[in-house]
Order: sequence, then structure tokens, then C-alpha cells
Amino acid sequence: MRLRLGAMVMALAMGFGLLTLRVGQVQVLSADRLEALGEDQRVRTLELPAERGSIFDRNGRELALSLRQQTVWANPRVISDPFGMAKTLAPVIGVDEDKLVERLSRDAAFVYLARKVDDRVAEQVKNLKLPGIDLLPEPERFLPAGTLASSVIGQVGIDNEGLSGLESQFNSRLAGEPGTLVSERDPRGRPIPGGERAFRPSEAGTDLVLTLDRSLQHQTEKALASQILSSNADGGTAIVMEVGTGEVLALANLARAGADAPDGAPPVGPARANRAVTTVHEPGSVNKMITVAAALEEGLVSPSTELLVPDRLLVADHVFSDHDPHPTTNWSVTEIMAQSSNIGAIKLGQQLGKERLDSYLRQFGFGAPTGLDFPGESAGLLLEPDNYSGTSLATISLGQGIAVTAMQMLTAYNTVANGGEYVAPKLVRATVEPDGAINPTPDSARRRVVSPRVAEQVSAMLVEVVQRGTGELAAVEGYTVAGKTGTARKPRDGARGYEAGAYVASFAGFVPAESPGLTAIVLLDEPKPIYGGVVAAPVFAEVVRYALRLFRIPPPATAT
Amino acid sequence: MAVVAFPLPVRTPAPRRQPTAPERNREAVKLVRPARTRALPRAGRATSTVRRRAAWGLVSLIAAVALAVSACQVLIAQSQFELARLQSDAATAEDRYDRLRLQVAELESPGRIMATAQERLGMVPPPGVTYLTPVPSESATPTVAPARPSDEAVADDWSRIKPILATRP
Repeated sequence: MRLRLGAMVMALAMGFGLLTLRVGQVQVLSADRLEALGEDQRVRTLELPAERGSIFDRNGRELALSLRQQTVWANPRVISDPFGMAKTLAPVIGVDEDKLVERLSRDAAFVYLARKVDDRVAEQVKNLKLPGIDLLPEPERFLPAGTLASSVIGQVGIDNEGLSGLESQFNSRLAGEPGTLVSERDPRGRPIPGGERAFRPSEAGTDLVLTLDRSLQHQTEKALASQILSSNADGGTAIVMEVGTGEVLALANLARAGADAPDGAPPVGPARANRAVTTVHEPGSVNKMITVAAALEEGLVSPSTELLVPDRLLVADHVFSDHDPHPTTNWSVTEIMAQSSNIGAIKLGQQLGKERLDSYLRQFGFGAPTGLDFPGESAGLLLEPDNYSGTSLATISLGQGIAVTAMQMLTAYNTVANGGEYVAPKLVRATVEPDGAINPTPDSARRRVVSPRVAEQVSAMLVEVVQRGTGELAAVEGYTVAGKTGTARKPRDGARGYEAGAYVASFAGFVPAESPGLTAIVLLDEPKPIYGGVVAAPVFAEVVRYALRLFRIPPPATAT
Repeated sequence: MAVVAFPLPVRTPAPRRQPTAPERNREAVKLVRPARTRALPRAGRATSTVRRRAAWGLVSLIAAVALAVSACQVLIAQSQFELARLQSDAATAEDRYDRLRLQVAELESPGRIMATAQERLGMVPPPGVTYLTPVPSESATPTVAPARPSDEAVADDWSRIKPILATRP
């Protein structure tokens, strides 16, 4: 009896001792490893992607927004038959079978198989219930209006980072702050009651409300595309701006499809860059407006002052000429502008001198960024007066030998339309913060460049250009249009001189001239015919005709 | 007659015999004598009953608390699953909202409207626009400020909805 009792006690003691040892091993010696193992099995840390801010037009219509899509991923470590799995998955997710085999055979716990697939594909993958294959939600960027204003909006990469355009410029604000959710989940992925450890919500990105109007943008792109096709141009740019605020209402950058364009692509599509602010060109005759305005502001001439204008003029070693031969004649400054006389502009430039001409060019906004801070924005190219050659004063007076962006030239014309006050252009009207608060952006910077009287005189001359000069095709029924044509030669790439037969045709102006509401510029790259008055002016008319109706800008009241 | 007095026997306690060691041990294990138990006074029996009842009450209380805790755990678990389901529903509803938002924006895009008007409805742009030129009289002065096609309500709606959208997965 005693023996059995003793044996039992001994057995119990040994059992208890073993248990104690095991507990000691689990709780003390291997505690950290086992705790980590357990947490690894049930604790999941999820990154909660922040919803990227949307981009709206001025009326709150979406131009870009993000939606959650499903990404197909795999854990190759639990996949025993990569070949069979690849064969099953390849036709569903549309990825090459060999590529899938390679990915499924990697020594990794996570590989992407197909990112951001549509709902139908995601559902198919889910229904296959393949071990080691799972779905992961990821936001994807959508442009509901297609390529509309795409060169302004820009692009985002596969990981939703802004790559170009406004998407890049405002990336830090659009992106938002991702959150995290650390939770305990059962093997089926369901949260274990009371097991949640930590939750930091993501913060949605800031929305941008642009100054663009979606309808006008569409109409502008349509009119520009049509002219690019009919004039066989390489591309074109068109901008419409609200005079008083500098808000850009439409900004189109189009290019003819290259040889590498996919089959079925439209012959004219969006340019890869926002050329209106990133690409410079020699402005040509549209620049004469600045030469004339400077001469008027300096009191050197009045609109009726007559100058003796030959059709050819030798300056330094170069003979300049007007487009059409004419006898030497007395032309008023207004006539010089209306006829777009090169010689007349040179004579006005010579009266101004290089220092004053340079000063006015800079005051009108040339040689410096516009303040849009757009990625890749060019400041343009202006020679320092000390570096002028013998012909620089002459060439710059008529718009060659300097380089500006379309936006810079537009703001120069907008200065005249705005009574001589420069208003910096603006592309973002407001932001919508994560809490829904709408914050209007600050008003554009302003500065006086010429007096209201001079602005009015220049405006009257520009009206003459459209009514009886080179810009007649820019006329809009019922309205008085003020503007100037330009036909500028294109410099050679990487060499001195100009490309033979290559021109940039342009028209810049505003309407209604009596009380300007809209300023616009149209540029066509290497059109045929080459003249701004022939190819760019009609696009200007078509665009502003639509804009006047859209913004309900009435024609000025006239006496009966 | 002589009276012989016999001393009455006096019950004197017998000298206690010192128990032997085994006896002592035997005596020590006699913890309760049934006779004595029966002989407990009434007050003692009542105390015992109270104690017994208190013990039972305590056990019952512990059982009730344990049951309540279990019930609470079940409720918490149920609520957690319900919460997870509601969160999933909310996420699904948000996804649906976003998809519908995209769909509306696509349907409203000028390119699509123009294509539909021209290709499906056979509409054509007007050959020209007739402008009425106002005269500088009172009738030509707009009584209402020119309205912009701006739809502030759209932005207002969005600014109201945006903070509501959840940030959970």
C-alpha cells in the first residue's frame, strides 16, 4: 500500500516537475520567440491607404478621382504547384503564364501578380479560391472625362505618386496620410473579439478645385484639334483667361499623333507636357504690342504719331523687311500695329532703346516664371541689354530673339485688357481639406505696368488689327475683339539661325474690347498656311464665341 | 440501637490513566463525536445553517457572476462580429458611392454628351448664332448679375460628404 502510494506521489511529483520545466521553457526560455510566433499568426498590421484627393473643375465636376481597386497577390511559400496555378490564373488576370510561373516560384512571402484589376476579374479570382492567392485593395486614379486637360492634371504612378502636372506639383497635399490598423484576426481573417490593438485612421488628401471650366476646356480642345488637323500642324496650344482674376478657364495642349501611336488612336491627342508653360517659342509679331505700349507709356509717341516707314531697313549687318512690299510711307502707330509692320516696330524699338525695351518686357512678365509653380515651368529667355548684338534691339522689337511661353504672352495681353495692371495667372481656385473645409486660394499677385490710358490706347489699336488688319478672322459677331496676330520663325535645334519654312502661328487678344472679360491665346506649331491671322485667329474666334455664351458675357450696349 | 453509618460511596473521578502512545494517537483522530453533535444547542445549529446558506449563496453568486461574465463575453463577441459586418457594409457602400460618383462624372463628361448627341440623337451644331445687340437703355441693363455656370452646390455637397467617408479598410 505504502509502496503504491509512494510511487503515485513520485509519479505526480515527476509529472508536476516536467510540467514546471515545460512551463519554464515556454514562459521564460522561449517566451519571446513563441510570443512573436503567435503574434505573427494572429496579429495583422494593415496599412490603410489614404484616399488621394480629387481634382475638380471650377464648378465642382470631377476631373480626376481615385477608386479602390483590387490587386491580386500571392504568397509563393505556400504554393506547391506554380505551373498549375499559373495555368489557372493566367487567362483570368491577363498576365503571361511564364511570367506568372516566375513570380510564383520566387522565394518570397509576397509578390504582385496583377495590380488594380477591375471588379469582374477580382470576383473571378476570389471564386477560384486558390491557396496562397489573395486580393489587396489599392486606390487607382481615374479621369472621368478621358484625356480632357490631361496635360495640366498630369499623371500618377502605379503607387499613386504624382509624376507630372498638378498631380506632381500638389502631390504632398493630394496624397493624404496613410493610416494603420493593428488587429488580431482568426484564421479566416475575421477580427477576434476584443483583440484590436491599435487603429490610426488614414487622412484623406486635399482636393483641388481648379479654375478650369470643363465645358470650355472641351470646346477649346475640340476647336484646336480640328485646326491642327486641317492646317496639318504638329501641335498647338490654346489658353483662355478671366481678365480681372487671372484665372485660367481653359488650357489645351495638343499634338499630332506620332508614328509610335497605337492603332486606333485619334490623329490629334493630348501633348505629353503642359507646353503652355513649359515650352518657349519666339513670339513674333504678337510681341509688337509690348513695343508699342512701352513707346506710348514713355510718351515717345501717341497712337496718331506718324513715322516714315520703308518696307526694308538695314540694321547692323541685316536687312529687315515688312511682309508685303510697300512704298516708303507715313504710317501712324495705329497703322503700324494694324499692318503688323516690322519696320515700324523696329523704329519704335530704336526710339525706346534697349534698356527701356528690356524693362517693359520684364514688367509684362517675360524672363520670369508666372508664379504658377507648375512643374517644369520655363521662365523664358531674355537677353540682358548688355549682351544685345547689333540687331537684337530690332529683332526683339518685332518679337524675334526672345523666347516666351504661351502663358507669359497671354498674361501680357491680359495686362492691357485689365487696364494696364498685370495679374498673375492662376490654376487652382480652392482646396477642400480632409474635414471638408473649402479654402479659396489667395488672389493673384498684381502690379501696374502701364497706365489705364495707355492700355486703352493699345486696346483701340488692337481692335483695328481685328477690324481691318491682319486679324480679321478673329472677329466675333456682336462683339468687339481686340488682338494681334503673330507668325514667328522657329529657331534651329542646337544651331544658330532659323529653320527653313518652320513657323509658329499665333493670335492673342481679348473680348469684349470695351469691357474685357476674357483673354485668350492660340498657338499652332508649324501649320500650313503659316500665318497666325489665317490659322490661329479662327480658333480664337470659335473658342471665345463659346466662352462668351458660357459665361454669359453680354456684348456692350451700343447706341442705335 | 446503634446506627451504623455507612459512608455513601463518593464518586470520585478515577485517576486518569495515561494513555499509551498509540492510544493517544487514536484519541487525536476522533475529531467529532456524533453524540456530541446531536447534543449541540439550538443556537449552534442555527449558526451552522446560516453559514451553510452563506456558503451556498457565495457559490451561487460566484456562479452568477461567472455566468454574467460569460454572457457579456458572448455579447461582446457578437457585437464585435456585428461591428465587423457593419464596417464591411460601410466599406462596400463607400465603394459603391465612389463608383457611382465616377459613373456620374463619366456620363456628364462633355465629350460623351457631344458624342451621344451627334451619333445617337442626330443633333448637329447650329450653322450660326444670332446675336441681339442691346441698346443703352434701361431695358438693356441686366437686372440680375450675370450668372456663372458655377454650381456651388456641388462643392458644398462634397465638402459635407468628404469628412464622413470612413478611413477604415
